[in-house]
Amino acid sequence: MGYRSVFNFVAETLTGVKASKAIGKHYSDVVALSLEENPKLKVDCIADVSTMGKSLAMSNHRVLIRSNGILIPISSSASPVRDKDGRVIGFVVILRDVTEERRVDKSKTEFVSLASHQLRTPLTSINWYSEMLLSDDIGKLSSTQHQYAQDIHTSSNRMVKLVNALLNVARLEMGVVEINPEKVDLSDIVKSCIKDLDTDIFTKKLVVTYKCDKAIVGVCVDVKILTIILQNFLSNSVKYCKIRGNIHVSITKDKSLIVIAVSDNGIGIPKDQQKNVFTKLFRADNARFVDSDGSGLGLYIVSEILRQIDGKVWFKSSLKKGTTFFASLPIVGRYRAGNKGLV
Amino acid sequence: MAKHVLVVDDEKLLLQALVDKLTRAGFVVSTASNGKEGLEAALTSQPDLIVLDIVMPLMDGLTMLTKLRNDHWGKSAKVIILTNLYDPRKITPSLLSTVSDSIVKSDCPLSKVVERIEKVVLK
Repeated sequence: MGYRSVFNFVAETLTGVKASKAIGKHYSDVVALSLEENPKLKVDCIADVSTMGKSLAMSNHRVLIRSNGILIPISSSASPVRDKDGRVIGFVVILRDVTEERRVDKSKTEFVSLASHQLRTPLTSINWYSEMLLSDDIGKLSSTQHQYAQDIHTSSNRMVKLVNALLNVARLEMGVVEINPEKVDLSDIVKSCIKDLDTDIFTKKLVVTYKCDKAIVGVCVDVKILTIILQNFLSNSVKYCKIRGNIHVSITKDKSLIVIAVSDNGIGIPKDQQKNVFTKLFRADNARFVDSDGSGLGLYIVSEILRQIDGKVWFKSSLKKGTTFFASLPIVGRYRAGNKGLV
Repeated sequence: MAKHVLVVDDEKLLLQALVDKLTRAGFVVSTASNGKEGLEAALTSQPDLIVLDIVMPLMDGLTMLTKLRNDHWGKSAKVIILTNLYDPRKITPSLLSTVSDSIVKSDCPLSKVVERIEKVVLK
């Protein structure tokens, strides 16, 4: 068993071996597979199927060694062929050239890390120099000069946030995000998220209150993820509340879930647009009117994160009365290895 | 006596901003624009603190840090990592545990960077 009987044209192209030479030979003399990260280590494409007797799609990151020594990234699967009594009489091995997919994956990953570093550097420069102007480090600015420097500073900060949001989208969509739950004090996270919005809360004279259920002690969540959820809910509430509006944050326990709720008495979401709230880049008409700066990425990021950690997001809203956003996530978070954290 | 801070960063504008702000805050500041120069400067001048970028030509910050930790004086020198690379978790934990602080540049106002530097130097 293992002697080749059919060998198609693509197999000839991939392996560099003519069908006439391959047919009748043992498979291991024609198809040489190894691992992408260690091409010297040979992998047997049929052994597992042969011992287990069932179909297997082989793990990614295998390479085929062509007859001329060139390595071709492939995805592969193998299935046993049985006779009418169920005895294995052979195997079908399917190899697919994934050079193009790998190239695209690689350039996506490279773009994300390039963007992460290269876009931030000039933005940091603008932030730091405008900050020095604003803090009168080199002399007092006139009120118009101060205003212009403030506008530069605000825009640049907005750009940093946008870059971070885009990076998070890219990382979530590429599935490379690491989830790293740790024991945390939830009220500390809530307090720090509220503090980040201090200036706007003060300017709009908003009243922000919070309550964390005492039953939630020693929960394990990824701090970054919880922060992103809270920041998004809270900054939306701050943006869409009227002057002297109220915002309330509550964190409660429901069986094995943590439920976060952020409610406000702001402008609300028009009923006919509610279905699109978690769609990437979507912004409701009244939201656009009140705040033209939003990216339409925040709630998409939240919903995508929660989908990946077995959580849920939903909301209740009525126009001109207010909105409550909810997120639920498992109390003991699931760890997932990845090569990138969220930002 | 004024404390001496060595800033190692290949980004000229960011380096200048740090020099200006730290000088105004009363520090004596010297600079290097890559890990190789930074290592030489650190071992020669033995500053009170090294502020270290990660992505740099010739020798990156992590290589410099590793080499620094192999030196008799350098193994206990105070270092703050100041980078635009996220995920300090990507840095080997044993190496990360030797630094006093790590800061993401684009998320931290310059005044806060100086505050965190002061906290480490004056400790």
